[in-house]
Amino acid sequence: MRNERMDNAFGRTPEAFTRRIDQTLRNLEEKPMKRFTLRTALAAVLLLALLGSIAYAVVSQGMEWYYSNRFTAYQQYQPEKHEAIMSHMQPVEEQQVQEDDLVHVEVREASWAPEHQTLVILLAAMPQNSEAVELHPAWNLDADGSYVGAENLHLYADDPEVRAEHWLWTDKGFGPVREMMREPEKQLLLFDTMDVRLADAQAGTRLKGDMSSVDCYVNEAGEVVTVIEAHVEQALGEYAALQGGTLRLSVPYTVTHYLDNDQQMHDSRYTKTVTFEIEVK
Amino acid sequence: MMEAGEIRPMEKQTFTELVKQNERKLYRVAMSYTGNVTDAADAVQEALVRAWSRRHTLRDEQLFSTWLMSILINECKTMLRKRRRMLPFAQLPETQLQLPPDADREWADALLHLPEKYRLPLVLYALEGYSVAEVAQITHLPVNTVKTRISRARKQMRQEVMDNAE
Repeated sequence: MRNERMDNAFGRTPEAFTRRIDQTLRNLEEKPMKRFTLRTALAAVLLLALLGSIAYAVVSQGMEWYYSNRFTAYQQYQPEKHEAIMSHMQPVEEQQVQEDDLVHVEVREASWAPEHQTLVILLAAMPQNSEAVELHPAWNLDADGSYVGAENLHLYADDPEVRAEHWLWTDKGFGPVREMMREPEKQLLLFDTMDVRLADAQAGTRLKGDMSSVDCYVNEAGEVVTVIEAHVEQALGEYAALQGGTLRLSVPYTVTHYLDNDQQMHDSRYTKTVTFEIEVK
Repeated sequence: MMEAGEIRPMEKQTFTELVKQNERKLYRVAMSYTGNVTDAADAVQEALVRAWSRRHTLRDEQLFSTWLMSILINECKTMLRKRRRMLPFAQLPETQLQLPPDADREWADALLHLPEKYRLPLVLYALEGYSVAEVAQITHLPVNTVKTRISRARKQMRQEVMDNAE
């Protein structure tokens, strides 16, 4: 099926991509590699165990922890960007949340690094009633794309990997939903968000641009932490200057009840918004 | 002279030459996962660093391409899992795709709308010219599964392109 149009689907290799590869290759270090001895392997295992226990002991709630432990690419390859994000980090104090009986959402930290046109928002979501509810990122449901539903199984008879059962990704692994939950008798809710928008004057305008990303995980306290990193095309400073140096932003989020019936699960989904202010210089 | 306990892995010059020979493949496979140039470059950078550190595991330079592609695919999957970029592509807001100006957007959209399990074998086989056996090796799938997925991908691509044309 090779054809010219598919061949050109992604265009020619961009120069920026080539430059990045060339730079990576130049920076590779040539060191003689020592053969691992049993002693070396044991020392490595002990060190990993120690580091692992330290990592688990840290409650992962903040942006500093996130960029130092979970997403370390900036620290390693773009230290100036890491420094910029860290230096502009601010706690978020002013925020309004729509009434939500099931989930409490709060924006905890933000960082606007104008030198990199990068806005980072860290928010945490937790069940209002943690005795009865367990909350997970919606993205972790069927993250492998293999769920097709019982009614569609016959369409994929040749594919051994398709499933009629939902699987969930948690710190226990990836498997059937109830088996992967911390407490399977609880109600499962799925949390999702990926947008940051301007509130007020340009209400609803999505802050957009390339290099935007969303990361979502469950921390030690059982909170669903979402880090939204947006490479912003708009000149946030100009918007903020009109409002006395602060910017009102909003983050819409959705909550879905996990149910055995997919249609009911879809119908259960609701959307709320948290609105907050940050200082922009 | 080698010291006792040292392994002589692939030299940097050889590694660099082989990577450059595979640069176009690396770009397109990474794009087929990420949909934008910046993320593709991130994934390839991580893959190259990882491949360099594990070059001693490559016994035969003839297998460099399939070996490197395996590493890249793992990096793409890890990156997508850790730094969620987007929902399944069918729900992806158009603004988050970033294609070069000379890209054929209609075909890129059609490719990116395929589920990953079908898209990857098709890209490796039809775009990058790997054999079915090589695709099976890269993706760690049985040969028959690879054949089925390529066939299914072709069918869906034809449908996508026809739908877009209407």
